[in-house]
Amino acid sequence: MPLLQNISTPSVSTVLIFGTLGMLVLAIGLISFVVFHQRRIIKYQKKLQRLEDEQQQILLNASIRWQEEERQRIAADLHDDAGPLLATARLYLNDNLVKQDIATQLQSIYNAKQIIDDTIQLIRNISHSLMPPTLKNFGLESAINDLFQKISGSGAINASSRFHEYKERMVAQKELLIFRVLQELVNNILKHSNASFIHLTQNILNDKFYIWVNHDGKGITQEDFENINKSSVGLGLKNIQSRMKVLNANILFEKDPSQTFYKVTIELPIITGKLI
Amino acid sequence: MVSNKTKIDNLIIYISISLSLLPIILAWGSKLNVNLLLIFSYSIYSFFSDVFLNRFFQLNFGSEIISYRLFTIVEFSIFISLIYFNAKNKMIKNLTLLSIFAFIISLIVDFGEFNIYDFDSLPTGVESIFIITLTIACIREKLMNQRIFTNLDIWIHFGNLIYFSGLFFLFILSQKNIHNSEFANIFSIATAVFNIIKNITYSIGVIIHKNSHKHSIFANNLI
Repeated sequence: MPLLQNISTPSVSTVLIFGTLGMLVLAIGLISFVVFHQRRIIKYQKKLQRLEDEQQQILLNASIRWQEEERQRIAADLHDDAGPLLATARLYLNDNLVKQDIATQLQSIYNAKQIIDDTIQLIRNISHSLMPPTLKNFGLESAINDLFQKISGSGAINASSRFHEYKERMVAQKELLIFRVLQELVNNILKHSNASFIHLTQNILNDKFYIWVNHDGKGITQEDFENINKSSVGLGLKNIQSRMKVLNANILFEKDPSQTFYKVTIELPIITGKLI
Repeated sequence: MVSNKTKIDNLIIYISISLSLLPIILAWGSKLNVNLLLIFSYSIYSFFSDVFLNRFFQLNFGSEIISYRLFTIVEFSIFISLIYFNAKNKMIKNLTLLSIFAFIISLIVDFGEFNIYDFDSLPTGVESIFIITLTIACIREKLMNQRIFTNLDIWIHFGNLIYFSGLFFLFILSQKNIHNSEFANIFSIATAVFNIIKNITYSIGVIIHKNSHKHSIFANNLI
């Protein structure tokens, strides 16, 4: 304080003017920095939002396309297989049947019955492809084990699955989504990878549900997966991505550090009895 | 020229006093929160001090400095409470408590060392340093948040930062110079100008806060 007491009037004005100006420059500089920083944050957030919207649009389009393809496949199955079968059965059971002898009538009825049985089997197959009965009745573990046994049974590839901790079933819709993702992954491996084995493992670690799918064929990495998702190709992978979003889950495609096999990791948050 | 300047000076001072009430008028009808309540208290006290207390102390004690001293205590209490309630960082909260302690010490030293009719440069200097420092800390804390400009507190921080930065040197030089009529004139004009800037900043904050609150209610209704 004695310093202030001895200040003469010209010095007071100089200190006051330059001091105040200096402080104001600092204050306004700080405020300007905050304003520019905020603008940068908002710009970045907008860019992020736009990219997310674009990605959502791609996934939505893929989902619609997949639904249309699925409908076309069902329509083709019904039209090309069930339609001719039922038309043939109708031919056996035409109006002239009553005018024919008993032996011919019995033969025609037997043939029609056989065709109707085939049609029933065909419709059952279509229905099972839409919603596997094992999944509906016995859950994800049984459905996956069943799928892997069928693949292994074909003799083309060695497929095995093991669930370590799946005591309580998830909600049906969630199980179906996971099943579809795994079905798509396995289909891709069978179609494109030329693998000699597929191995699926399930476990729970740190309150998270994990599924690992390993195979020794030609696989993809996370970078490939993200690039395919941004492009117009890879409908199956886009469906995997959109299902992952619905499940609030993560998927990671990687090559094992040993470089001998590819690994797909699915990570799901655990919320008992509730679809996220 | 001299009389003309006095008229302009008086006009600035009257505008400054009137604008003290602007944030209250603009916020009228808004749902009260801690920030608004503190700004209301500050604006009302500021207006009351300028219109009534300064004159009261001038007439009864021969100097309005005592009113300024009271104003410093009230001002510090309100702004430090505002920082304390808005800060989330524990270190800022602890620093706020430390600044209260430092301010009380400065008041005691000031009462012991200086005449009551002298301007309280020591407490106002301590007040300015702590408010500027804590305000910068609060702004830094909020920097990573999105759309901080819709928050009233950021505008209060901006107003305070400009106000205390602009008046810091004036406050610390006032103790020995306030009785100089030219300096006193600069003091009253400078405080009035920075008061106007501060109140306009508060008012911008109140308007944005009020509008953003309206939009959020509208958005909730739509949902």
